[in-house]
Amino acid sequence: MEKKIVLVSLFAAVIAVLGLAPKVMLASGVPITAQSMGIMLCGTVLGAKRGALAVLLFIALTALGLPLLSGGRGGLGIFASPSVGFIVGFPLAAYVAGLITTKLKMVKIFYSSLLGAIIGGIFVLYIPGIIGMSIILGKSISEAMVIALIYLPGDLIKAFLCATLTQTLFKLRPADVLSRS
Amino acid sequence: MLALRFPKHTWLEKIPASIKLVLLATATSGIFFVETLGIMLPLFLTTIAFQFLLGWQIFKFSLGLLKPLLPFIAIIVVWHLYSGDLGYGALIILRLLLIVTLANIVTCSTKTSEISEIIEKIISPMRLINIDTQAISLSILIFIRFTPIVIERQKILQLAYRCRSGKRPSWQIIVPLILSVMDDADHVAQSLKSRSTFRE
Repeated sequence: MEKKIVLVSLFAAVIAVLGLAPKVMLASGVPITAQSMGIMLCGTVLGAKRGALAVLLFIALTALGLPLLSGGRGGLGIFASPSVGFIVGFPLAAYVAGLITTKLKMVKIFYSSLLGAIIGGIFVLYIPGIIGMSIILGKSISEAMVIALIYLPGDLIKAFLCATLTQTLFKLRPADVLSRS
Repeated sequence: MLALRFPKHTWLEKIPASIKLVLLATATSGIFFVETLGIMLPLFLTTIAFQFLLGWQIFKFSLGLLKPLLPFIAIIVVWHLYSGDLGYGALIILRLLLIVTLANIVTCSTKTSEISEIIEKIISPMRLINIDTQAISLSILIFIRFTPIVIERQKILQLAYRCRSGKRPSWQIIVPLILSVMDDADHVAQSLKSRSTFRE
Protein backbone atom coordinates (compact mmCIF):
# COMPACT_ATOMS: atom_id res chain seq x y z
CA MET A 1 0.00 0.00 0.00
CA GLU A 2 2.74 2.47 1.00
CA LYS A 3 4.84 1.71 -2.09
CA LYS A 4 1.83 2.21 -4.32
CA ILE A 5 0.98 5.59 -2.77
CA VAL A 6 4.59 6.78 -2.97
CA LEU A 7 5.07 5.64 -6.58
CA VAL A 8 1.85 7.32 -7.67
CA SER A 9 2.81 10.57 -5.92
CA LEU A 10 6.40 10.62 -7.16
CA PHE A 11 5.40 9.88 -10.74
CA ALA A 12 2.93 12.75 -10.52
CA ALA A 13 5.94 14.86 -9.54
CA VAL A 14 7.85 13.53 -12.57
CA ILE A 15 5.02 14.67 -14.88
CA ALA A 16 5.29 18.11 -13.30
CA VAL A 17 9.06 18.23 -13.78
CA LEU A 18 8.81 17.13 -17.42
CA GLY A 19 6.46 20.07 -18.02
CA LEU A 20 9.11 22.46 -16.75
CA ALA A 21 11.70 21.26 -19.28
CA PRO A 22 12.32 23.82 -22.04
CA LYS A 23 9.86 23.44 -24.87
CA VAL A 24 10.72 22.77 -28.47
CA MET A 25 8.94 24.81 -31.14
CA LEU A 26 7.49 22.89 -34.05
CA ALA A 27 7.65 24.35 -37.55
CA SER A 28 3.94 25.22 -37.17
CA GLY A 29 4.79 27.46 -34.23
CA VAL A 30 3.08 25.26 -31.65
CA PRO A 31 5.31 24.46 -28.70
CA ILE A 32 5.73 20.83 -27.71
CA THR A 33 6.76 19.87 -24.22
CA ALA A 34 7.70 16.63 -22.57
CA GLN A 35 4.64 16.76 -20.30
CA SER A 36 2.34 14.66 -22.46
CA MET A 37 5.19 12.18 -22.76
CA GLY A 38 5.17 12.06 -18.96
CA ILE A 39 1.51 11.04 -19.17
CA MET A 40 2.34 8.26 -21.64
CA LEU A 41 5.29 7.12 -19.48
CA CYS A 42 3.09 6.92 -16.39
CA GLY A 43 0.96 4.35 -18.20
CA THR A 44 3.73 2.38 -19.90
CA VAL A 45 5.93 2.24 -16.78
CA LEU A 46 3.48 2.13 -13.86
CA GLY A 47 0.70 0.22 -15.59
CA ALA A 48 -2.92 1.18 -16.19
CA LYS A 49 -4.33 1.80 -12.72
CA ARG A 50 -1.29 3.31 -10.99
CA GLY A 51 -0.45 5.37 -14.08
CA ALA A 52 -3.97 6.82 -14.26
CA LEU A 53 -3.93 7.59 -10.52
CA ALA A 54 -0.60 9.43 -10.82
CA VAL A 55 -2.00 11.56 -13.65
CA LEU A 56 -5.22 12.18 -11.74
CA LEU A 57 -3.23 13.38 -8.72
CA PHE A 58 -1.16 15.68 -10.91
CA ILE A 59 -4.25 17.24 -12.50
CA ALA A 60 -6.07 17.62 -9.19
CA LEU A 61 -3.13 19.48 -7.68
CA THR A 62 -2.64 21.63 -10.74
CA ALA A 63 -6.30 22.61 -10.50
CA LEU A 64 -5.73 23.47 -6.83
CA GLY A 65 -3.39 26.19 -7.99
CA LEU A 66 0.06 24.71 -8.50
CA PRO A 67 1.38 26.16 -11.78
CA LEU A 68 2.77 22.86 -13.03
CA LEU A 69 1.16 22.38 -16.42
CA SER A 70 3.56 23.13 -19.26
CA GLY A 71 4.01 26.86 -19.74
CA GLY A 72 3.48 27.47 -16.02
CA ARG A 73 -0.28 27.07 -16.23
CA GLY A 74 -2.30 26.05 -13.23
CA GLY A 75 -5.36 26.87 -11.18
CA LEU A 76 -9.00 26.50 -12.06
CA GLY A 77 -8.43 28.43 -15.29
CA ILE A 78 -7.10 25.26 -16.93
CA PHE A 79 -10.66 23.95 -17.04
CA ALA A 80 -11.73 26.98 -19.03
CA SER A 81 -8.83 26.90 -21.47
CA PRO A 82 -8.97 25.25 -24.91
CA SER A 83 -6.77 22.43 -23.56
CA VAL A 84 -9.47 21.33 -21.08
CA GLY A 85 -10.41 18.22 -23.05
CA PHE A 86 -6.81 17.09 -23.21
CA ILE A 87 -6.35 17.69 -19.48
CA VAL A 88 -9.50 15.75 -18.61
CA GLY A 89 -8.44 12.99 -21.01
CA PHE A 90 -4.92 12.63 -19.57
CA PRO A 91 -5.83 9.98 -16.91
CA LEU A 92 -7.71 7.92 -19.48
CA ALA A 93 -4.76 8.19 -21.88
CA ALA A 94 -2.36 6.87 -19.21
CA TYR A 95 -4.81 4.08 -18.35
CA VAL A 96 -5.11 2.88 -21.93
CA ALA A 97 -1.35 3.19 -22.55
CA GLY A 98 -0.71 1.09 -19.44
CA LEU A 99 -3.40 -1.44 -20.28
CA ILE A 100 -2.00 -2.09 -23.75
CA THR A 101 1.60 -2.36 -22.48
CA THR A 102 0.49 -4.89 -19.85
CA LYS A 103 -1.85 -6.93 -22.04
CA LEU A 104 0.61 -7.31 -24.93
CA LYS A 105 3.15 -9.25 -22.86
CA MET A 106 4.01 -11.57 -25.75
CA VAL A 107 5.27 -8.62 -27.81
CA LYS A 108 8.62 -6.88 -27.17
CA ILE A 109 8.15 -4.04 -24.70
CA PHE A 110 9.19 -1.42 -27.26
CA TYR A 111 6.31 -2.32 -29.57
CA SER A 112 3.70 -2.79 -26.84
CA SER A 113 4.56 0.53 -25.22
CA LEU A 114 4.71 2.26 -28.62
CA LEU A 115 1.24 0.96 -29.44
CA GLY A 116 0.06 1.91 -25.94
CA ALA A 117 1.48 5.42 -26.26
CA ILE A 118 -0.06 5.93 -29.71
CA ILE A 119 -3.50 4.51 -28.92
CA GLY A 120 -3.70 5.88 -25.36
CA GLY A 121 -1.64 9.05 -25.62
CA ILE A 122 -2.90 10.09 -29.06
CA PHE A 123 -6.15 8.42 -30.20
CA VAL A 124 -7.87 8.20 -26.81
CA LEU A 125 -6.52 11.59 -25.70
CA TYR A 126 -7.55 13.44 -28.85
CA ILE A 127 -11.23 12.49 -28.52
CA PRO A 128 -11.95 14.57 -25.37
CA GLY A 129 -9.26 17.04 -26.53
CA ILE A 130 -11.05 17.78 -29.80
CA ILE A 131 -14.46 17.95 -28.10
CA GLY A 132 -13.01 20.43 -25.54
CA MET A 133 -11.47 22.65 -28.22
CA SER A 134 -14.67 22.55 -30.21
CA ILE A 135 -16.71 23.78 -27.20
CA ILE A 136 -14.29 26.42 -25.92
CA LEU A 137 -13.20 27.76 -29.31
CA GLY A 138 -16.73 27.64 -30.73
CA LYS A 139 -15.73 25.45 -33.67
CA SER A 140 -17.32 22.36 -35.16
CA ILE A 141 -15.78 18.98 -34.36
CA SER A 142 -14.20 18.71 -37.81
CA GLU A 143 -12.74 22.22 -37.52
CA ALA A 144 -11.33 21.39 -34.08
CA MET A 145 -9.82 18.23 -35.58
CA VAL A 146 -7.87 20.36 -38.05
CA ILE A 147 -6.47 22.43 -35.17
CA ALA A 148 -5.57 19.26 -33.22
CA LEU A 149 -3.64 17.94 -36.22
CA ILE A 150 -0.98 20.56 -35.48
CA TYR A 151 -0.03 18.56 -32.40
CA LEU A 152 0.11 15.20 -34.15
CA PRO A 153 3.74 15.21 -35.41
CA GLY A 154 5.04 16.21 -31.98
CA ASP A 155 2.93 13.58 -30.24
CA LEU A 156 4.12 10.85 -32.60
CA ILE A 157 7.73 11.78 -31.79
CA LYS A 158 6.85 11.64 -28.10
CA ALA A 159 5.23 8.20 -28.46
CA PHE A 160 8.43 6.87 -30.08
CA LEU A 161 10.55 8.46 -27.38
CA CYS A 162 8.27 7.06 -24.68
CA ALA A 163 8.63 3.54 -26.11
CA THR A 164 12.42 3.92 -26.31
CA LEU A 165 12.61 5.15 -22.70
CA THR A 166 10.32 2.37 -21.43
CA GLN A 167 12.46 -0.20 -23.25
CA THR A 168 15.68 1.24 -21.79
CA LEU A 169 14.18 1.20 -18.30
CA PHE A 170 13.08 -2.40 -18.81
CA LYS A 171 16.59 -3.41 -19.88
CA LEU A 172 18.21 -1.68 -16.91
CA ARG A 173 15.73 -2.66 -14.22
CA PRO A 174 12.93 -4.94 -15.34
CA ALA A 175 11.39 -5.02 -11.86
CA ASP A 176 10.82 -1.26 -11.95
CA VAL A 177 8.67 -1.41 -15.07
CA LEU A 178 5.54 -2.33 -13.16
CA SER A 179 3.35 -2.61 -16.25
CA ARG A 180 5.30 -5.78 -17.09
CA SER A 181 6.02 -7.25 -13.66
CA MET B 1 7.02 28.50 -3.47
CA LEU B 2 5.06 26.18 -5.73
CA ALA B 3 1.61 27.73 -5.45
CA LEU B 4 0.17 30.23 -7.90
CA ARG B 5 -0.50 33.35 -5.81
CA PHE B 6 -0.79 37.09 -6.38
CA PRO B 7 2.48 38.93 -5.64
CA LYS B 8 0.66 41.05 -3.03
CA HIS B 9 -2.01 40.42 -0.40
CA THR B 10 -5.52 41.53 -1.32
CA TRP B 11 -8.85 41.72 0.46
CA LEU B 12 -10.04 38.87 -1.76
CA GLU B 13 -8.04 36.48 0.40
CA LYS B 14 -10.37 37.13 3.33
CA ILE B 15 -13.41 35.81 1.43
CA PRO B 16 -13.98 32.11 2.21
CA ALA B 17 -12.82 29.81 -0.58
CA SER B 18 -16.21 28.06 -0.77
CA ILE B 19 -17.98 31.36 -1.61
CA LYS B 20 -15.39 32.23 -4.26
CA LEU B 21 -15.70 28.79 -5.86
CA VAL B 22 -19.51 28.97 -5.99
CA LEU B 23 -19.35 32.48 -7.49
CA LEU B 24 -16.80 31.30 -10.05
CA ALA B 25 -18.91 28.30 -11.07
CA THR B 26 -22.01 30.51 -11.44
CA ALA B 27 -20.17 33.18 -13.42
CA THR B 28 -18.49 30.67 -15.71
CA SER B 29 -21.76 28.91 -16.50
CA GLY B 30 -23.46 32.27 -17.07
CA ILE B 31 -20.76 33.51 -19.46
CA PHE B 32 -21.44 30.61 -21.83
CA PHE B 33 -24.94 32.02 -22.38
CA VAL B 34 -23.66 35.45 -23.45
CA GLU B 35 -23.95 35.52 -27.23
CA THR B 36 -23.41 39.18 -28.08
CA LEU B 37 -20.30 41.34 -28.08
CA GLY B 38 -22.37 44.17 -26.61
CA ILE B 39 -22.62 42.29 -23.30
CA MET B 40 -19.34 40.36 -23.42
CA LEU B 41 -17.12 43.41 -23.97
CA PRO B 42 -18.38 45.39 -20.93
CA LEU B 43 -18.11 42.23 -18.79
CA PHE B 44 -14.54 41.74 -19.90
CA LEU B 45 -13.60 45.40 -19.41
CA THR B 46 -15.16 45.38 -15.93
CA THR B 47 -13.04 42.35 -14.96
CA ILE B 48 -9.88 43.99 -16.29
CA ALA B 49 -10.73 47.23 -14.47
CA PHE B 50 -11.34 45.22 -11.29
CA GLN B 51 -7.86 43.70 -11.54
CA PHE B 52 -6.40 47.13 -12.23
CA LEU B 53 -8.02 48.39 -9.03
CA LEU B 54 -6.34 45.57 -7.10
CA GLY B 55 -3.01 47.19 -7.95
CA TRP B 56 -0.57 47.57 -10.84
CA GLN B 57 1.59 44.65 -9.69
CA ILE B 58 -1.39 42.28 -9.61
CA PHE B 59 -2.63 43.60 -12.97
CA LYS B 60 0.72 42.88 -14.60
CA PHE B 61 0.97 39.47 -12.96
CA SER B 62 -2.54 38.54 -14.13
CA LEU B 63 -1.82 39.57 -17.71
CA GLY B 64 1.28 37.37 -17.62
CA LEU B 65 -0.90 34.39 -16.68
CA LEU B 66 -2.84 34.78 -19.93
CA LYS B 67 0.27 34.30 -22.09
CA PRO B 68 -0.21 30.54 -22.59
CA LEU B 69 -3.50 31.35 -24.36
CA LEU B 70 -1.74 33.34 -27.10
CA PRO B 71 -1.30 30.43 -29.56
CA PHE B 72 -5.04 29.67 -29.35
CA ILE B 73 -5.94 33.33 -29.81
CA ALA B 74 -3.68 33.44 -32.86
CA ILE B 75 -5.46 30.38 -34.31
CA ILE B 76 -8.90 31.95 -33.75
CA VAL B 77 -7.81 35.27 -35.29
CA VAL B 78 -6.38 33.61 -38.41
CA TRP B 79 -9.41 31.33 -38.68
CA HIS B 80 -11.94 34.16 -38.50
CA LEU B 81 -9.94 36.44 -40.77
CA TYR B 82 -10.22 33.62 -43.30
CA SER B 83 -13.93 32.92 -42.67
CA GLY B 84 -14.74 36.63 -42.48
CA ASP B 85 -16.80 36.29 -39.28
CA LEU B 86 -14.66 38.56 -37.10
CA GLY B 87 -17.41 39.46 -34.61
CA TYR B 88 -17.90 35.84 -33.60
CA GLY B 89 -14.12 35.37 -33.34
CA ALA B 90 -13.87 38.36 -30.99
CA LEU B 91 -16.70 36.91 -28.87
CA ILE B 92 -14.87 33.58 -28.50
CA ILE B 93 -11.57 35.27 -27.61
CA LEU B 94 -13.21 37.53 -25.01
CA ARG B 95 -15.11 34.60 -23.49
CA LEU B 96 -11.91 32.58 -23.23
CA LEU B 97 -9.96 35.46 -21.67
CA LEU B 98 -12.79 36.32 -19.29
CA ILE B 99 -13.33 32.80 -17.94
CA VAL B 100 -9.61 32.12 -17.51
CA THR B 101 -9.09 35.53 -15.84
CA LEU B 102 -11.92 34.90 -13.36
CA ALA B 103 -10.57 31.43 -12.53
CA ASN B 104 -7.08 32.89 -12.09
CA ILE B 105 -8.40 35.55 -9.70
CA VAL B 106 -9.92 32.83 -7.49
CA THR B 107 -6.83 30.61 -7.65
CA CYS B 108 -4.35 33.41 -6.95
CA SER B 109 -6.31 34.77 -4.00
CA THR B 110 -6.94 31.44 -2.27
CA LYS B 111 -4.49 29.36 -0.25
CA THR B 112 -3.85 25.87 -1.65
CA SER B 113 -4.57 24.49 1.81
CA GLU B 114 -8.03 26.12 1.82
CA ILE B 115 -8.98 24.52 -1.49
CA SER B 116 -7.56 21.16 -0.44
CA GLU B 117 -9.68 21.30 2.73
CA ILE B 118 -12.76 21.74 0.56
CA ILE B 119 -11.65 18.84 -1.63
CA GLU B 120 -11.19 16.66 1.45
CA LYS B 121 -14.73 17.52 2.52
CA ILE B 122 -16.04 16.71 -0.95
CA ILE B 123 -14.25 13.37 -1.12
CA SER B 124 -15.02 12.32 2.46
CA PRO B 125 -18.25 10.47 1.47
CA MET B 126 -16.03 8.25 -0.69
CA ARG B 127 -15.11 6.45 2.53
CA LEU B 128 -18.57 4.92 2.44
CA ILE B 129 -17.75 3.12 -0.80
CA ASN B 130 -14.49 1.85 0.67
CA ILE B 131 -12.11 4.38 -0.89
CA ASP B 132 -9.23 5.27 1.39
CA THR B 133 -9.35 9.06 1.67
CA GLN B 134 -6.34 8.97 4.01
CA ALA B 135 -4.31 7.58 1.09
CA ILE B 136 -5.47 10.48 -1.08
CA SER B 137 -4.43 13.06 1.53
CA LEU B 138 -1.05 11.34 1.95
CA SER B 139 -0.48 11.31 -1.84
CA ILE B 140 -1.19 15.05 -1.99
CA LEU B 141 1.28 15.65 0.82
CA ILE B 142 4.03 13.53 -0.78
CA PHE B 143 3.50 15.21 -4.15
CA ILE B 144 3.77 18.74 -2.73
CA ARG B 145 6.82 17.79 -0.64
CA PHE B 146 8.66 15.93 -3.39
CA THR B 147 8.03 18.00 -6.51
CA PRO B 148 10.72 20.57 -5.56
CA ILE B 149 13.10 17.67 -4.79
CA VAL B 150 12.49 16.06 -8.19
CA ILE B 151 13.00 19.47 -9.84
CA GLU B 152 16.34 19.79 -8.02
CA ARG B 153 17.28 16.24 -9.06
CA GLN B 154 16.54 17.11 -12.68
CA LYS B 155 18.79 20.19 -12.46
CA ILE B 156 21.67 18.09 -11.04
CA LEU B 157 21.26 15.52 -13.82
CA GLN B 158 21.20 18.28 -16.44
CA LEU B 159 24.39 19.75 -15.02
CA ALA B 160 26.11 16.36 -14.91
CA TYR B 161 25.12 15.67 -18.52
CA ARG B 162 26.35 19.07 -19.62
CA CYS B 163 29.68 18.55 -17.83
CA ARG B 164 30.27 15.24 -19.57
CA SER B 165 29.04 16.02 -23.06
CA GLY B 166 29.18 19.79 -23.38
CA LYS B 167 25.70 19.64 -24.94
CA ARG B 168 22.32 20.68 -23.63
CA PRO B 169 20.46 17.64 -22.34
CA SER B 170 16.90 16.90 -23.33
CA TRP B 171 15.38 13.40 -23.20
CA GLN B 172 18.66 11.76 -22.19
CA ILE B 173 18.16 12.54 -18.51
CA ILE B 174 14.64 11.11 -18.27
CA VAL B 175 15.76 7.50 -17.65
CA PRO B 176 18.18 8.41 -14.83
CA LEU B 177 15.50 10.71 -13.40
CA ILE B 178 12.93 7.90 -13.32
CA LEU B 179 15.48 5.45 -11.87
CA SER B 180 16.33 7.86 -9.07
CA VAL B 181 12.63 8.46 -8.40
CA MET B 182 12.12 4.68 -8.18
CA ASP B 183 14.92 4.50 -5.60
CA ASP B 184 13.35 7.35 -3.65
CA ALA B 185 10.01 5.55 -3.78
CA ASP B 186 11.61 2.50 -2.15
CA HIS B 187 13.14 4.56 0.66
CA VAL B 188 10.04 6.67 1.31
CA ALA B 189 7.77 3.62 1.24
CA GLN B 190 10.05 1.83 3.71
CA SER B 191 10.06 4.72 6.13
CA LEU B 192 6.29 5.19 5.78
CA LYS B 193 5.76 1.50 6.43
CA SER B 194 7.75 1.63 9.63
CA ARG B 195 5.68 4.56 10.87
CA SER B 196 2.30 4.26 9.24
CA THR B 197 -0.99 2.79 10.28
CA PHE B 198 -1.95 1.54 6.84
CA ARG B 199 -3.41 -1.95 6.63
CA GLU B 200 -2.65 -4.11 3.61
